[in-house]
Amino acid sequence: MDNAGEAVYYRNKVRGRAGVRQWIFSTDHKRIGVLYLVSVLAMFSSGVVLGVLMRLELLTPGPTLMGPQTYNSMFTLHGVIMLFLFIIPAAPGVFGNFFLPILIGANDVAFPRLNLLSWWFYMAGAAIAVASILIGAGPPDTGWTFYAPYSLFTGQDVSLALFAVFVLGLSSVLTGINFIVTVHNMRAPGMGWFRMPLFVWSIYATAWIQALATPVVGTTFLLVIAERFFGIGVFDPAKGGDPILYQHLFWIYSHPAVYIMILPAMGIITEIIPVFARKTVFGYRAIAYSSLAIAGVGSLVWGHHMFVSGYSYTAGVLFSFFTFLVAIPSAVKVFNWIATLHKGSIVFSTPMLYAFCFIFLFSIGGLTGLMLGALSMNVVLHGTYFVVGHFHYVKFGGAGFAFFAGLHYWFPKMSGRLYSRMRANIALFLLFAGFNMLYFPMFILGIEGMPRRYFDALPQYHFWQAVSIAGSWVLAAGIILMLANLVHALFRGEKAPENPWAGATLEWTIPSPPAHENFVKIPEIRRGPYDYR
Amino acid sequence: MGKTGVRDDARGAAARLGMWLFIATEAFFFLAPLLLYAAYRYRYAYDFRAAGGELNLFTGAANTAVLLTSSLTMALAVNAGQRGDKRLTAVLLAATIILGSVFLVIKYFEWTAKISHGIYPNSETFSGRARGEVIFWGLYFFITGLHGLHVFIGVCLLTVMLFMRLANASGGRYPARLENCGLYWHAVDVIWIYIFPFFYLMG
Amino acid sequence: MLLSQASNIGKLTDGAFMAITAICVALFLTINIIMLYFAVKYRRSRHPQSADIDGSVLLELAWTVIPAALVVFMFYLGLKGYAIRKDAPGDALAVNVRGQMWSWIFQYANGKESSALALPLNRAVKFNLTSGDVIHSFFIPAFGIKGDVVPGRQNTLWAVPIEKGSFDVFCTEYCGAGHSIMLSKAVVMDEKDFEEWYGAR
Repeated sequence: MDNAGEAVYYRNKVRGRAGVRQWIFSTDHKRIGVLYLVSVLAMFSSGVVLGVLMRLELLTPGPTLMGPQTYNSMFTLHGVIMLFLFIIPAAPGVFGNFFLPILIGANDVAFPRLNLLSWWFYMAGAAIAVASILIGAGPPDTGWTFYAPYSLFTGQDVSLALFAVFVLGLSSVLTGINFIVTVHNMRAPGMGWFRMPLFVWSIYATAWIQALATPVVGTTFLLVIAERFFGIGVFDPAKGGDPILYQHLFWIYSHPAVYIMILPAMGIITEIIPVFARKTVFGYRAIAYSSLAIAGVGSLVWGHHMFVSGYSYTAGVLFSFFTFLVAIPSAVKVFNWIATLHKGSIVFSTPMLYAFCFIFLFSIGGLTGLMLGALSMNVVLHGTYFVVGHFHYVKFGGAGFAFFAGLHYWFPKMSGRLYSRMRANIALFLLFAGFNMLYFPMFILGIEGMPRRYFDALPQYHFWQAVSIAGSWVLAAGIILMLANLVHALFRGEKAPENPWAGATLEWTIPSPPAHENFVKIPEIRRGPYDYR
Repeated sequence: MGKTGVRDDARGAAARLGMWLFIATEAFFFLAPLLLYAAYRYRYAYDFRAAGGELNLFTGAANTAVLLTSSLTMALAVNAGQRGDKRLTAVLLAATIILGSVFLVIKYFEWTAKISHGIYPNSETFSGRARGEVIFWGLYFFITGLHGLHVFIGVCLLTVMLFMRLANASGGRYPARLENCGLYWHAVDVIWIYIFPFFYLMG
Repeated sequence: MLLSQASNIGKLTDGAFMAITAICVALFLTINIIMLYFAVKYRRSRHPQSADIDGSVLLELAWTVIPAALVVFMFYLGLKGYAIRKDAPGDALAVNVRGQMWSWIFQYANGKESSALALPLNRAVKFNLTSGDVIHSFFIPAFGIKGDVVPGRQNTLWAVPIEKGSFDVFCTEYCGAGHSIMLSKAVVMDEKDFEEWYGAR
């Protein structure tokens, strides 16, 4: 333990191991966090490329870049990659791994080797997903929801993609278990539950969903695989099975999965706002409990994806009601963030600007979610571009922007370098402008009735599609500039001090980048996490 | 990480909590097909009874007895391991492994008997059957198959534990590991306690 | 076609649509204007020393209870336009809507089949949705109605067309390579024209 004090940075070479092996076999939670960072960003970039190409195809009628079959595979892969390989693992995998132990004053997670195994499962899942494109009958064309019975009959290579998601689920479950035990057992002396930073609370709530909801979709996908290979009949209407039951089982996981994406995002924003307002967070307990409330009530709303599926009237009413209820804890968080700004002393650093953009975009995403939760409106808007706009505002504008906010907030700590703030702000401007240009027209298209997953836009929808397509280029430019700026800083950036933002949480008390065992001596905690007085 | 006794205790507690969480995820893993069972039983009550009647109650009950006994030997093995009784631990572990294997062998014969009678998904004689029966057998093969896989994994785990024991592991983290294997084995047993009445008794 | 005015159900839904959208826009503006106002007012150069405030039970209660009341109200608004969709009037004209990869077939009570949907003005129509292959979804934006077309079960929809004209019919559940060409038209005509069309072989 003692030699850990002599700044053996976690990035320094480890004796006895060479090259990439000292990373991919490391059980240091910080290295695993960096492994996740590199892999999720690679996945994100490929998802962006697919997305931009898909948009571009819609510019002209008929097949220009690709035919309908390719287009359908592309939106399927875009969904699978962005959800299962980017946004679900991103915040827990990267920031959960890197900062959860540090924020609670621990040397590592509870099960470091299991943690490494999670990353390996993640990589195996990614490899299998890529294999499903290259081998067999070609990439899946079912949409990321794999709805039966289409997914049972299509000639494309669905089983392999489903198995990939199954393996990714295993990774997610193990990460969830690891984090729950870490929070329960590894807190430093004095680190009571209500002295934990709120990011830890959000990761904790997320971990429960990861551990308990993911297995349901795991078996559901196994059932579809069994259906494809053996024809067991449970989802096949020709044999008496009911495809609606598939949708239930799918959304029992996949709706809570939305909260796997958004809860850590909210946690990141909750870390950033107090630091740059120089003020303790407003309503600590309300924010902590609202994370749990979102995780709990969020498990009861899956049926709002199925209002027009023909299930019972009562089911529709109940699912709509719970959907509205889950808006309340989300609103509580937003109000507390804004109240934190009140009488603060606000600095407009890049992470804070990201947080403002997050609140702007997430409030649009959340409120359009309410519009979709209203039963009679849902019937009209379900399956249209309105839904596509809504979930991109929540998942990209919300979870994605928060992830990038976290990246800019913790980059100096993770890399030990400072990035160019001017370039970062320009990139954010492009991201924000491009984002709204790309996704806001989708609300209009949806209200006008354009269905999603259409290979061709009908003529009456052309104008807003064109605006949206142009937006995708601006957004892509913003992403490239943002990533380039960070990569540049990694090699050429100024050395970062221990505490560049004057933050009060534990990660800012240790060197940038941190040493292998995080703390020379496990700290004793005597105050709350956002004490700026 | 340190090697002191206090740390081992803390690690044991962490490992136990982790194992309980893992068992909770296993429960949710089986929840999906069991929910399907409930939904289809409600819809095809008559067909489910007819199909359930074709299952051999004797083999099912025998398997239940085998698995329950194995849970007993497992619990005793964990206990012996904690007391440091090396020989007894090994013997009881071996007994558990044998009982688990017997379960799988009985299951194998049960499956092959059904398959030889043309009772399996997509078989030729199957298309003439009632829809609910097709679903019943689909779920039967899926759920018992999934459970069998869990028993198989358990047998493998216990075999590893037995070899570790024979290689003279007994102190340190061995008892905690053994206890976690025991938790897993009991969980697999409990899942069977649900499967047995659903498929064999409610026919 | 911003609002669905061509059927009784669409018209009813539009009221809720406007009200809910208005509430959401108001909430959005409130949140973001206050955020920007605070950001400007309490920027470091004008407000160098932050105040020591860590919460307020009263405020927490206020912004739990008020949104709760608002969302329950919005839920109620949404419910109103949903309940009416449940049961078609008994004297409705029945049309069997058959979805298949990748076209629509409309069957009428007298056995007439058509690939376009002809409908009489001002008369209730009940759509029985069936599929022979995968799930489709039957959507007439102008009528404000949509229902999944699920193999193995029969969902129903109904509406009274109240405007003459030709309206888009879409498939809104992804169903394969031809999903985006699974289109048709709903043609609403006077009762007399409809009877003529209906009687013709």
